[in-house]
Amino acid sequence: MTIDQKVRTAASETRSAFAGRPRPPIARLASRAAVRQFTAVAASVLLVFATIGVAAWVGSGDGAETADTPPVTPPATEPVTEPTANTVPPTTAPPSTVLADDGLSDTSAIPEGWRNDFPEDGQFLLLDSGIALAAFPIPESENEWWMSIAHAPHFDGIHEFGPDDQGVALAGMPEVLILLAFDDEKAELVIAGIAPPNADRVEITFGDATPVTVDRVFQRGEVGRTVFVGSFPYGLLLDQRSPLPVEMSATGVDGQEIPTPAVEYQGWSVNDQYTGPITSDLFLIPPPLIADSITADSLPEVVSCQGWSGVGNPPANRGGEITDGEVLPSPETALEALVAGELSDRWYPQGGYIEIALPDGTTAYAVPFNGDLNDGAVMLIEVEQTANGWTATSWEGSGC
Amino acid sequence: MEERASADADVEFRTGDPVIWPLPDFDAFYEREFDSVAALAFVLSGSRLASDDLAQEAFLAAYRRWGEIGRYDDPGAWVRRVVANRSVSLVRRTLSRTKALSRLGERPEPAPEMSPDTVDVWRAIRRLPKRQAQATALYYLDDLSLDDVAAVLDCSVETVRTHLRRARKALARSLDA
Repeated sequence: MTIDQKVRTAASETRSAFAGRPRPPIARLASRAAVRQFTAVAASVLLVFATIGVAAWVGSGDGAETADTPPVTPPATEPVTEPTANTVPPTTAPPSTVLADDGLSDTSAIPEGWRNDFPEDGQFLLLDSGIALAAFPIPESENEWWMSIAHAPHFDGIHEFGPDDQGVALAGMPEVLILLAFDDEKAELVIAGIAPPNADRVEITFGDATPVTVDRVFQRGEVGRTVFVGSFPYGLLLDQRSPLPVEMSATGVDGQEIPTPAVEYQGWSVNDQYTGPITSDLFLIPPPLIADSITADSLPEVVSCQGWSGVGNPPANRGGEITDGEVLPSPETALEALVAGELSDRWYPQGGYIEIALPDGTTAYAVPFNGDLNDGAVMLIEVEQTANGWTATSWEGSGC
Repeated sequence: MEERASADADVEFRTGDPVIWPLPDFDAFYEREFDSVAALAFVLSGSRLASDDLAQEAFLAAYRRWGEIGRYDDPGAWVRRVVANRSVSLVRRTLSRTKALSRLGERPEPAPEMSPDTVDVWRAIRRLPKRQAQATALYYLDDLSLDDVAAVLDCSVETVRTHLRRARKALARSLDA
């Protein structure tokens, strides 16, 4: 069989497999479009919140189809710019139940006009992180609600979930997980999930996809790391509603073809993936600066950047002597000063270092690769004692 | 009689009266095109779960601008271009996710009812350079002409021909290996 015949056979079989399958009724698309129009208005109002200092984060920008959609001049009646508003339909209890007892709702800050414009029975939740949530019932549906989210200047896209997509069950309370999906070049997707109190996991289902489970639900003020498991078509960032620094870890881009050369990605490896510049700019790695202290006979190896399979050349490890380190009273303060410095030619992780005491009396700090120093380090900084105190003398980073 | 109709038409045209083309029915367009667009999304993304979403997003984008897109010669080409672009982008994200899931032992997502040979063919096509993969899928799966593929990909027919020739050559190497 020739290649041409093989592909034609595959095409024929594929067409048959996809023929006549159930599809969302066209009304669903119309509903999504209508809601999208509404959320555009909603986020516009929320943008006003930001200007008056109520919400610190409000997004704006073009629609989700900017990158891959052929250019079309929109009709005059359509907004050219779509704000950052995202919708997740709660599945069970009306959000009034959920939002009322949260303790963070502050509807007093909502402009009167906005309240009037909001559909009947709509509810608001302004989170202390500046994220604004709004929920309202889907017309002609008794049990389906939409949740809109508007926040964050770094989200210049918009994503919505239709009734086919399922949000986290809203029964119970009160913690809100904000899952930020990470596209190749920008974060553009926000999903809200509300987990029951003391839940050890939260589950989110998109259509008929395998549910995405989050193995740890953060409580307010808690800092930590979690893992997402499930069929989710985007890389993920995790935000936590908290006034504390927020840990964000991102699955990075990977694949056979990438539009951006690997060398343009900076930061350091997180979870065996990559942290792009947008991530490092936007989110803070939580304290402490020094996560643990150990003794060791030798320094860990700094792992190489893995790069993308088959694409380009991963950036080589970087490093060298440090000649501009401050001389300070302790190894820790020397490290602290070093990583806090604004340097154009290198960039250091802001936390998560393991302090390593070596037999010769020197001290090193290493950020473990993949969370385990036995796997190597993605950043290694050596400090030495001088006559006047401690100073950083060398560094090596993985290059990612 | 035919001559008179033609003459009347000429008169109308010369008067400058606007010719209002009726806007095609979106519902019919959606019903007619959805399956093939979803199939295109599947073969280019490799994700059964994502293919419907990709197709729906593309149709939603068309719906929102139907007043303009509906008047195109072939609105389906516009939708296919959206899907082709997004599907290939999705591959990159999916690869990353798949890597993570395999590490965690997650079961893979279900595949449509297809023979192993067909699965292999599409997998090999997804490994082609982006434009080759898009051209191949559009040409074979959607049974588009070279002209139509060129319209979707916004390139010349000769370029499409080159993509297909190179794709076949690469597929011969990978599938016959």
